[in-house]
Amino acid sequence: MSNNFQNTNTAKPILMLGAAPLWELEYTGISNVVFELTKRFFFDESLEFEVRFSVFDKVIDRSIIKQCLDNRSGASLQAAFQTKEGIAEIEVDDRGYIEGRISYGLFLHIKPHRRVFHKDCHLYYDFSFLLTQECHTQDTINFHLHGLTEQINSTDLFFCISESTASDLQWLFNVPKEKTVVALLGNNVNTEIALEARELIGDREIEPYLLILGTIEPRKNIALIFEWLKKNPNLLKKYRFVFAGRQGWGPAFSAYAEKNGLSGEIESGRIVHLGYIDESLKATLIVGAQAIFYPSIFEGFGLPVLEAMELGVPVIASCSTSIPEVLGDTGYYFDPYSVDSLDVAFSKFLFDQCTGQLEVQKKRASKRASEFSYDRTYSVICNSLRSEFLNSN
Amino acid sequence: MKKRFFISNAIDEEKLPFISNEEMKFGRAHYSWKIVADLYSKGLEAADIETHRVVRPEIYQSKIAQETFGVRHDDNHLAVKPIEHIRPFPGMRNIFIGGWEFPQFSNESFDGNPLNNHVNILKHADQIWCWSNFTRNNIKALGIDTAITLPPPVIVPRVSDDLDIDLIATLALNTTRAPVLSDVKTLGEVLKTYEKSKVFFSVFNPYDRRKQIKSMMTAFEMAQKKQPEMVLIVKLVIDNINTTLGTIQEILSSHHGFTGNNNRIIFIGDILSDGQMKKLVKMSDFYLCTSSTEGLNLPIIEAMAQGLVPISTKATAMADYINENNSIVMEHEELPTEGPYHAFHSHLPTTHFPPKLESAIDALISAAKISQSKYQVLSENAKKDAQDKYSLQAFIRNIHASGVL
Repeated sequence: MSNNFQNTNTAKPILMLGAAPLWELEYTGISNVVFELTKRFFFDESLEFEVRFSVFDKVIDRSIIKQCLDNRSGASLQAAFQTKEGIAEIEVDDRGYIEGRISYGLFLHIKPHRRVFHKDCHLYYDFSFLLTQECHTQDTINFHLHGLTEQINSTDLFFCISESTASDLQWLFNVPKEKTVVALLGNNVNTEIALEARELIGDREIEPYLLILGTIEPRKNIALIFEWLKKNPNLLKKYRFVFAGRQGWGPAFSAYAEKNGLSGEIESGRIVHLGYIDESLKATLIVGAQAIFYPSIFEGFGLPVLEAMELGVPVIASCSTSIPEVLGDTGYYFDPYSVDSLDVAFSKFLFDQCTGQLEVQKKRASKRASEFSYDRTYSVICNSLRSEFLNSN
Repeated sequence: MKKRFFISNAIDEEKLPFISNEEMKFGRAHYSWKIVADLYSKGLEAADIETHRVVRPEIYQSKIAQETFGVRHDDNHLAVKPIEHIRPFPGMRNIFIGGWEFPQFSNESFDGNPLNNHVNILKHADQIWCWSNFTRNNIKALGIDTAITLPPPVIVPRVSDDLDIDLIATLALNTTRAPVLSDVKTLGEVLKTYEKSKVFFSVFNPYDRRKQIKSMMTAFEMAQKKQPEMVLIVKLVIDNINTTLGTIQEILSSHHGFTGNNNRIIFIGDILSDGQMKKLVKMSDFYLCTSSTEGLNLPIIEAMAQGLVPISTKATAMADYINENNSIVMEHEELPTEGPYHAFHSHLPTTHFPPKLESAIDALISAAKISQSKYQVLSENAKKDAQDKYSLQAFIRNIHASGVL
């Protein structure tokens, strides 16, 4: 095998890092997580493992991975799969050894349905395809379910991006708690863009608006906000409600307004739907908002919440699943199934705004956000790999 | 402070907040589970317990979520759903309903879906309230000791309304051609024609294979040849949108392989009020049930509670309330199920307990010939047994005995 697939230290056990989402042309969501972790594995020379990188069932030349990391894009990887240069078969013997050395697999996304390496570990994001099946098409559900049981049965160590995901993994699949490790995601908010936006805003007073981030689809639960506005139309006199996120599936954005008798407020611009927004506009919108709402009924983590916290913007969020793990006691919570509960949360927010407590809360949120880092995520994963694999050998 | 029960019975798209079903394309409602959830709710409230609905219990995992929701340490969650739809409520005592009507349970994640593993799901219950001893014993046989028998109360509505039953549309199974409008008669006309006949009444969904519809029809036709003064009235549980009264012959033929021609087999397709249902039961003599397996069988218990004499096997759930002192009992046999008897039919082999055809014919004949005095005894016993086991008082007694309070 060419040396380009490996780094210089040949005495170490091999860790094959399955990083298929690097294939994507733009890194957002899961591919961004994979990017952050791959970057750390790539440059960490002190790690007790020799890290190699795989995409699908092929091992990838380090130079191609480097290009992906440099460019934050999988374009070079896609090109390599076209030419087949820098791509080789993964050759593991029956004992899970590569070139006479013990090997471990760490899969950051889809794992093969059988054990490949001496021991396999796998990062899980969420089980929304199982627990909110009504929010997915049957094709998506089938895609995720295909071979899932086999994947889990052939995995030795499970990383989960939240306690919530770990808890679901445990009850759904009978995975013992001691085999699950929670590696909370990090915070890679581009604060530069936000700072620029803040400078642009300066001392100017901007019209107060409340921001709702997320794709327009039933799981994100914007229906709750519309129900709430129907009951409290006066709020629209004080705040614009700005929804930012592409139209996904389910009822159209305008249908939510129509159902609640609020179509006129779209026409008058008191309710605004911006559709898809890029990272720059997102950060700008967050820093200008009075608060962001996050009414989701199910999350594996809740990155938009972390972004708002980092940028010092109050968060009024659903208490569902993983969201409290991110927001902690620095936000205003409501039950995603209760308009009354949202009303209470918003009242608390207004109260804190009047009393000045909101500034304290924002600082606490910002401090909490700074504690989430991909260095920490990486460290949790590496420590577990050491203790589970190296020490046990 | 009153004890609280949070009941989860939403399934599929019903779990999406603030979105009406019409707006959604996915999922299906499970109507009969709603009825049972309402019965448990009424029973719990009669026992001075507060009940609330919770849509998605599994999302309140964190301490913050439980505080926001307002969870108290002594709260209970009652999941009234098919097993594969059950999700636990973290931090509460979880009580699951056991209504599965086959002796075999899935112990595998069929189609890769862990929610299809009945045994794993049931193991997460602190207590399982089974509708019958049959289901309780089957769950205990899996090594799950949390199962007890605690059926819902079966409440016959007291309401009586002015809605008559004479004008209800009926269709007789007296032609093999597609029915035309002139085939439709009112129930009043039908009853007038057969006023000297014994009336056998049944309620079922014509797609439900467990009901052994072909056996029922065949047995009735055979019995009626020997005892002509019989009429069978079937209230169909249909949506009247995709399935209508006019499609019943086609369903019987294509789903049950039965092509009958008997003007004494009469179908009703309309959605009836509680009062109309009571009137239908009152004008009937027997409740006919040929079902091969049941988790509870609400219609037969409701009929018994109103003094209607059942004709049924005493297999599965019926073993709890059908006996020779309150019913005309049909013999049954244990056979493997063939075809789509349940959602897991392509993965999970199961058995069921259909009535023997000869025994069903004999039961119908003996019913048609029954003396008034014997009928009266059976009727009174049926009413008393339903009251003893399924009244609100019985439910309150059972819930106190369950240890959850």
